[in-house]
Parts: sequence; structure tokens; C-alpha cells
Amino acid sequence: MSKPTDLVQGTLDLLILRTLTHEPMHGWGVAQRIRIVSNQVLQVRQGALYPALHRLEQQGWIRAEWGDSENNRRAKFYSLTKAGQKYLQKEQANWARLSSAIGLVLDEARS
Amino acid sequence: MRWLTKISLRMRSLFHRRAADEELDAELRSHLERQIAANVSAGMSVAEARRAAMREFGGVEGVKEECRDMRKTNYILDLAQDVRFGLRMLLKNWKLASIAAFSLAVAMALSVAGLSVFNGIMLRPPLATAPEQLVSIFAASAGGEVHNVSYPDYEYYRDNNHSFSGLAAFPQEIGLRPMTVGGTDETGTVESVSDNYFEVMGIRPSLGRLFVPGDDGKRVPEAILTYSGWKRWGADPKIVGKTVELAQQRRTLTIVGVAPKDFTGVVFGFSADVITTLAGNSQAFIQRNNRWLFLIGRLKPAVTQQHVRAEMQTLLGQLAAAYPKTDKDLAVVVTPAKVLPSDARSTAELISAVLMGIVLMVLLIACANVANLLLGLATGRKQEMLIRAALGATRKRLIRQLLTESAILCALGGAAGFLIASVALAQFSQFSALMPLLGTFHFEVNFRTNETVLLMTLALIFIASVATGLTPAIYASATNVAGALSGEAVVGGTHKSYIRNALVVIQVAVCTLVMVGVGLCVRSLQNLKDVNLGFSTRNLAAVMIDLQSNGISEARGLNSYRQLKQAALQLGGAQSCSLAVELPLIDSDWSTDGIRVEGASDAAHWTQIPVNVVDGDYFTTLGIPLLRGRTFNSSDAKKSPEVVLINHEMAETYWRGANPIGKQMRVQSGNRVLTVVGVVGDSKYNTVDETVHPVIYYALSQHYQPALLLAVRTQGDPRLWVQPLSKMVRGFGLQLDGPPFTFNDIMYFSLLIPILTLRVVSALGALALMLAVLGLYGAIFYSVNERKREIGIRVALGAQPFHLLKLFLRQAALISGAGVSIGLFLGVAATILFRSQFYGIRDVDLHVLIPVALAMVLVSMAIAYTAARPWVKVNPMEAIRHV
Repeated sequence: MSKPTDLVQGTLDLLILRTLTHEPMHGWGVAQRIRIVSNQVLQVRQGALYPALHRLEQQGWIRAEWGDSENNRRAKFYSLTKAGQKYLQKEQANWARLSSAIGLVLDEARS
Repeated sequence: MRWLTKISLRMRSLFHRRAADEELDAELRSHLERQIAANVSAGMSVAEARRAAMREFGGVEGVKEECRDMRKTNYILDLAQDVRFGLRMLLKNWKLASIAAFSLAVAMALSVAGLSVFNGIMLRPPLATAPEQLVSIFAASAGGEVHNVSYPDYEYYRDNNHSFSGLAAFPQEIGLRPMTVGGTDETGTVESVSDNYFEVMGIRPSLGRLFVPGDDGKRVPEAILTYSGWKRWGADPKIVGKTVELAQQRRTLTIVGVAPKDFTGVVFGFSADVITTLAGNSQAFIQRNNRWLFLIGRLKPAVTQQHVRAEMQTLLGQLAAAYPKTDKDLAVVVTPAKVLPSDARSTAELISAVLMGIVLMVLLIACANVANLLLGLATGRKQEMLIRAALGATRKRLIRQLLTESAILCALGGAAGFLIASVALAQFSQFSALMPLLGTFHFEVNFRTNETVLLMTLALIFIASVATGLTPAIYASATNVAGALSGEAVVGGTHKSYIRNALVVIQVAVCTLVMVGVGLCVRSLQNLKDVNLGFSTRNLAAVMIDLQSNGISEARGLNSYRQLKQAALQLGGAQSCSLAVELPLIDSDWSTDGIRVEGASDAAHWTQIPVNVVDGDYFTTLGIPLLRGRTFNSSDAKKSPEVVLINHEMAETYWRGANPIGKQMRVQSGNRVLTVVGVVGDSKYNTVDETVHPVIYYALSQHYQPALLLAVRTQGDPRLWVQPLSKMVRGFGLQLDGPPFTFNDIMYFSLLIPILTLRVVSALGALALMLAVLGLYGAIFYSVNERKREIGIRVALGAQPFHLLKLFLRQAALISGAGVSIGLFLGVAATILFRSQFYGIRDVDLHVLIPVALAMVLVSMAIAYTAARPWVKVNPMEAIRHV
């Protein structure tokens, strides 16, 4: 297994919020989802995931509820709040601008 | 709405911490279970799946702590935990903790009291509405000497300024007088203020009315009772309109009102009973060189202090131009108004600076005690700190915990100190005292602890916590986990013993410095007592006689004086008696005359020389030797040529060894010619510590005086003559202005300030010594305790108690020697700085330094011996067990 790509500070928050836009999910689900969607490239260190989830909850971007999951196991489900959606849109726009800017610099350097 | 969510979450994590923690647990557990299940379905065995899941997750406890940190309430929870744990630690070491807290409480009580006194004297404005608009005005000569203002000058300022909405004046005089209040005889204190005083200050009456402008000129004079006076004399609700008769002045005043409760009078520290207006027709209201008034003004809105200063300087300039004789060469000083009168401020500043300095030094010693205690505890807790570090506590976290402990100690000590000081100050803020010459006065100093003092105390507690806690905390938290786990012995290193020794050196040094202060006070007082006064104070009693206020004119006066003297000599045991305007050491301000001596170097202008008017028996009665010529006799009559006696210093200054008898000089008033007929010995005139200066004596027979002092030299205890003297004076139908007094009273009175200073400084010194002894004992006890192993080995190798004792005493001698040396060095510096405040003290005064040094060294060796003895006497078998 290759060493997981270090996530830029703050990117993890963005990934979690984006993942939660579809449906409420529990922590393990979020980690799996990120891995699968990123074609196994992004491996969220599980030790870092929970502090991030708790931080986002404290900041009011996401909300947590206990619920039953598949095969009747109880789990803590996280969902995006209204404020979280707004925040995500803003951050996504920021990210797009940042990555395209980096892309421009890299492209120019190549040519 | 986001903040609402946030707050409710924070509240939950604060108050439902257990539930939150359980949820966290459950959440992480369910995560792991899922991962294990996923691993099993991927084909691993259950044990393998669990291991892989755990590995992937990382340290569960660490993650939990991180999640908890996200709640942001950890600071509060950690603090609560630290406080709980700190209290437990201190309870466990309650003996040492209480010594430290006690040291701190004593020092903090002193600091709080010191701050309150400082606040009460230096910072407090007088009772008034909006006191920040008030300024006090006085004049200063080029030499910085403070002068008050004469009545005519005050009138000029009051009527010609544009800066003040009101300018009030009052003398700093208080008199205890017999009086009749509403028909009953009482004794009360009287103060006076200008008629606009209460208006300027914005003080409202509690009964009737207070003075209003115009009252000064009223034909029927008015008076106000203070609240305490009114209360003491029966709190008559119908007091307004009744009268106060002042027997001595033969004045009857109508009471117009009662002042509010907070108003105690205008003289700082005294509680007055009756306030009168400034009305009067004595010389004091006309003379421009009689500067007896203190001025306080209320600034008009938007007038700055610079503006006032400029305007007052202009007014003074106009006065100086009109009256150059009295008003020249003065500068106006305008300062924010304070309770303390302007001329007392520099002395008060010095005294409070010195006392605060000593108080802070005592606090420093106490802080060193606490630091040492915590350092001692820290050594014992090295192991604990290592375990905490090994479990993942960061260094910051460890320091925070140790600082919490020192903060608890300091807060406890500070709170106790504040309480003690508040109670003590409340106890002593009002008291009555019998003053020699004067009678019983009521004092009201009102040094209360208030918000300002509380804030300063909190700041002190904070500083003390950091000062006492930081070093031990940094030391104890410096952990080397790897070394400790590999089995390295955990014992105190040498580094810490340096810190501890340094702390003890500081304590001993500061204590030595304070002791040098005590020594200086003792020595200075002794010097003052040993001063050759130039006259004899033994068996000398005196009484004041005021013929004028008793309605006796000059025509009858001379005869009355003669009769009084005869009657005094008739009193059994009276050896001689004399009449004089001034007696030594009673008045700090003799009147002066401008004198010009022909042929002298300063003959170009009038030199002011203090003068006294005495009869011919003055010098024999006081025991002042007649060096040359004769004293006054019956030939020196009003019509005969004016003669004077001079003191030795005057003869030396103007005639340098030549015989001054028969020499002449001119006096400024009337340009009269004076002829010297005798020279008498020098003595002290105004104060015990003054330097010798020229003095001229006039003959009473040539200069009639309406009021005089009658001095009587008695056989045996002069106090026995006090009653007969006052009876004798009353026998002539004369009112006494004050009871007769003895020169023992006067001497006590003139040394009162050095005596009080010595008492206060000694008390502080005793405290400093006590705290330093505690600190030294603790430090040596600990350092011996720490060397238990070493002692064991030494004993096992055959060391005798004597050797061990030598070892410890040598260590103690080094430490205390260093401390005492530094202290003596600082002491000499302090002596040089404050030498002018002491009498007869040299820069390096060995009479002070040697006893202090010896005492400090002996005390510290005795403590070292006491602290080390139990360890030295230890049984070898017992000692070896510690190896």
C-alpha cells in the first residue's frame, strides 16, 4: 500500500463536507467514500477524521444524530447544515480558483 | 443561528461531559467494529482483522483527547482539574503549604495595608463632588520650599481670576477649646474655612445650611457642627439657631447647620467638631507675609491646568510688583487637590516610598519562601511528572498545572492578607489620643481598602503567582522520558540547588537590608537623644499666658507679669522662673528681624535673624550659660537705649572672636540701633536636628508682649507642678489657652516621628526576619533531606556527626555569608540615599553595619544547626537504608 497522500491543511474539511452533501453518513462511511471516489488515492487517516468531524460539528457546519444503520447497528450520522452548505460553496469556489491557478503556473513552467 | 448551536454544544460538553464522553466512546467503537467486519469479509481472521483495524486507526486515547480538544472547553475543564489536583497536593503537604501561605498572608497583609495608606494619603482627593475639577494652589520659592498664601493675597486671587468658578481658603489649624454648645460645657476641636468653601467643594448639609459667600463679613459670626460633633453632643434635631460660645476668644457663634457624615473637617487626619468662618480682625488678615492659608479652587469647564498656572503666575506677578517686600521671587504651583496639605506632601512621599519599599521587600522574602517550598515539592514530584509526560502530557500542560498550584497558594495568602489588612485598618481608622500640651484629639484617617487597592492587590497576587511558580514549574516539567524509562535515577540535580541557594541568598540579603534600616533608625534616634541641646530639659515646666485675650492691656500687663512670676516662685520647690516669647523646641518657626551689622561681609542688605524676647532670668532658668557681658536687668527700661543679647554663633559669625560687647547693629523695622550687652551659649531652638544658627534676644522690659510663656525650673518631677501652675494662673482670673506642660513632654513630642518610624520599621524588620528564618530553615532542611543518600554513604564510610555538621554548616555559612554581604552592600547604598533623613549617620556607619552583620550570620548559623541536627544524629544503620 502506498503512503497516503498528505492532505493539505483544511482540505480534509472540504472533502468531508462535500461527501456529506448526498446523504447523512457515519464516520466510517465518510472515510470509505472518500477513498472509493478518489480511486484509492486519498486515504483519510482515521485518527484525523474524528477530530475533524468534531471540529466541524462544533463550528456548526455539520450536525450529528444517532440513528440505526444497516443490520441494526447504532451509529452517529453526520449531515450538512444550511450554514455548512453555504460554507462549502464558498470553499469549493476558493478551491477551484486556487487549483486552476496552480495548474496555470505548472502548465506555463512545462511549456 | 450558528452561534446558538455552538453555545448549546459548548454547554453540553461542559455540563454533560460524561454523556459526551460516552458518545465519543461509542462512536469510535462502532467505527472499529465496522472496520473489523470489513477486514473479516476481505478474508482476514478475526484476530488479524482486529489488529489491522487498530493499527490503521492509531492511538485511540490520543484521538479521543484530540476530539475533546475540539470542544474548546478543555481549558476550563483542565483548570478545574488542575485546581482540584493542586488542592490535593497542597493538602498532602499541608505543613509546608501552610508555612508558605502564612508567609504570603503576612506579607500580603502588609502590602495591602501599605497600599491603602498610600492610596489614602497620596491619591485620595478631598471630600467633594467632582473632585477631579479641584486644584490646590500654593507658592514655591526658588529653593523649592513650599509657601502657603496670606489672606490679602488670597483675596486678590479670589477676586481677580477668571479660571475658577470658586476659590476657597482654609488654614491647616485645629484647636481643642473649651466651649458652651447650646448651654452645656464641652471641649471640642475647632477648624475654620472661607465662607465659599462648601460651595466650591459641593458639599450638601445634613441639617440646616452650610456657609455661603458673604458669611465671613457677618456681624453675628456663624458656625457649623460636623456630623460627629453633632452626634457626640446629643444629636439635637433643633440645633440650628442655637449658639456655640468659645470662652477664650469671647465669641458667640450661631449654629446654622450640620455638615454631612462624610465630612470630617479640613485638617487631614483629624476629626473636627465645630467649623467657623474665617472672620476675624487680627493681624493675620492684613499681613502679607503671614502665609497661613491653603487654597483650593474649582476649575471652570474647559480650563486646563496650564491655563490656570499661567493666569495665577500673572496675578502673582502683579502682586510682586505691588508688594515687592513680601511677594517677590515666588512661583505658583498648581496641583490636583488631595487630602494631604501641599506642604506635607514631600515628607509623606518620602515616608510612603520608604515604607512601601520595605513592605515590598518583605513580600519578596515571602515569595522566595513560597518558591522554595514549591521547588522542594517539585523535586519530590519529578517521578510524577515523568509518568505524566510518558502518558502524553505536553510540557505546556505540566507547567500550567504547576503554575495553578502556585496560584492557589498565592490566592489563599492574598485573600487572607487582604482580610487581615481590612480588619486591621477598620480597627485603626478612628482613634483618640491624648497629646501633650494639647489635650485629647479625635483622629480619623480612614485608610480603607477600596477598589483601587483591591485591583493593586490582584495584580500583586498575579505577579507573586508567576514569580513563585515559574522556576519550579520549568524545573519540574523538564523531563527526560527516555532517560527515566531506561532506569536513570531520578534525584535532584545540581541545577535546582543553585536556584534554591540563590533564593535563600536573596532572602538573607533583603532581610539584612531591612535590618540595616532598623539599625539606622535606632542609631539615629539614639543620636538625637544624645544631642547636646544647649539647655537643660530636666525639671522644666511651662505654661502659656495670653493677657490680651483676657482683656489686660499693656498698661496693666507689665505689673501682671511681675505678679505672676512672684506667685510662681512662691510655689514650693520652684527654683527660678522666666517669661519669654519662645522656648526652645516648642515652635518650629521663630519670627525674624532684618539685621545689618556694620562692617560685616553681608552688610549690604538686611539679613533675617530669628529673634526671641525674654526677661533677665531666662538664661538661668533654662540653663543656658552666659559667656560674656551681662544679661538684662532693671536698667534696660523702655526709654533707655535698646540692648540685645546674642548667641555664640552670632558673635562668631559677625565679630569672629573679637569682643562683641558694646558693638552695634541696625534693625530693619524703624532702622533702630541695637547694642550688644552679652553673649550666651548656643542651643537648639526649633528642632533637635537643626544646625546651629545666629539668634538675637530682646529684653522683655523694652518690648512688651501681649502673650508669653512662663517657664519654671522645679525641684524634682515637673509633672507635680502642672496642677499648681494652672491653679495659680487661674487664681489671677486668667483663662488658660492650654494646660501647663513639661519639657519631658516636649522632648517626647519632638522625637515622636523618629520614635514612631523606629517602631514601624522594627515591626516590619521583625516580620522580615521571621519570614527569612522560615525560608532559611526550609531550604536547609530540604537540601539535607535531598542528600540522604550521600549522608548514608558518608556514615557508612565512617563519617562522624561532627564531620557531617561541619559539612552542612559550611554550606549554610557560604549561603548566608553571600546574602549578608550583598545585604550590607545594599544597606550602604540605602544609607547614602536616605542619609539626610537620619541624624548623625555616616555613609558607612559601622555602628550599624557590624551588629547587623553579626546578628544575621549568627541567626543563620543557628537555624542551619537546628535544621541539620536531626540528620546528623542519625543512626548509621538508619542512614544506610537511604542508600
